[in-house]
Amino acid sequence: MANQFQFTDEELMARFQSGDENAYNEIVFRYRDRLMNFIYRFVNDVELAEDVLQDTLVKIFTHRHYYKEIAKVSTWIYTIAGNFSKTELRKRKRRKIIQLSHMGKDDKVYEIPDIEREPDRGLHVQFSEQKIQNALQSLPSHFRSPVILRDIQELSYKDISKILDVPLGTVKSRINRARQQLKSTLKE
Amino acid sequence: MDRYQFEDYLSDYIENNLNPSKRKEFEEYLKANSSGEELVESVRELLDSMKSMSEIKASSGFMGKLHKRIEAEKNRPSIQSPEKRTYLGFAPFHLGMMVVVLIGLVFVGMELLPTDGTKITTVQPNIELSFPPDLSDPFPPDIKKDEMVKLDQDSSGVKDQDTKAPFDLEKRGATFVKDQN
Repeated sequence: MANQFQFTDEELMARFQSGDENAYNEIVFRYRDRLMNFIYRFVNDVELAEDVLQDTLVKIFTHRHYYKEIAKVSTWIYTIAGNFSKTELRKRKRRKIIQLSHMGKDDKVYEIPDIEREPDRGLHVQFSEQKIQNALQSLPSHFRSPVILRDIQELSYKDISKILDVPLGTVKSRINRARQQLKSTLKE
Repeated sequence: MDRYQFEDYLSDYIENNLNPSKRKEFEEYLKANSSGEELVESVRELLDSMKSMSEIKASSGFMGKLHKRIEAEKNRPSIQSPEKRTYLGFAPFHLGMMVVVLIGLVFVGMELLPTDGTKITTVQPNIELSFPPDLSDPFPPDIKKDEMVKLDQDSSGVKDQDTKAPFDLEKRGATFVKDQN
């Protein structure tokens, strides 16, 4: 386990840029689950989240030389994942509009949740989790991503500001407003 | 502190980021407004719930799929780094254009060079203009000015008609017969 943190993310990236593919595997190992969680909370679809995660990790591989050490590796990776997630959501929205325009009046769209659940969790917790997840989807995307990054991923405001490329004050106020909006949605 | 300010400082209060004076002000507002206290508690609860949400993991076959795609990407024409796309600090297109222009300039320069080995000098040579003796007078002696003017007039063709003799049928042997009717 000591070997796991032998190198910082930035050192691993430098090694990967100079051709060490093991460094890439280590980066994937470190970020895979965190990213999957972030993307899923944003797009609310496990399969889509996996596709976006794959696109993100492939882009890290193919565009490794675009990373400059002036930024943290984590912020660079989250920025890529966030951009892919937004693009996929936009595509899905467009597809839904087209589907609805071709749908008959008796047709219905069912979305079956496919979440890997921990067996020891109680029913009540699962229910509120789903409620929170639904409430997150009701937020506009410029509120949703900062609140996920802060309250689920537990990133710092400074990092979130860099990932989203918005001023620190804007990030703070968006998170503050998103929390209050979530709270009132859950109360309904 | 009013309600708007209270809501603005809500997250900072929960995350303990308020300075002591603002914190005191905030807590005074909470004491005076029970709805404020309620809001703080519900947001705290929400944050706790979000932090304890289960982790969603990628499926077991994910890594296999990823490595397959990576292998496919390796066989594609590689995406070069932004630095590698420049040569001598120029983009390939601009460098190509510069080389073409340079070759053009060298070619034109070679064309301008004398091929018989004479030297090119920037010093102006002493050139003396001399005319052959017959060109010293613009009007040759055998042609007078008036004649030249007349020649010009003739060239219009108008004068020709006036100077020509009238057409004489009799001189050309024509005979006229009177009409008997």
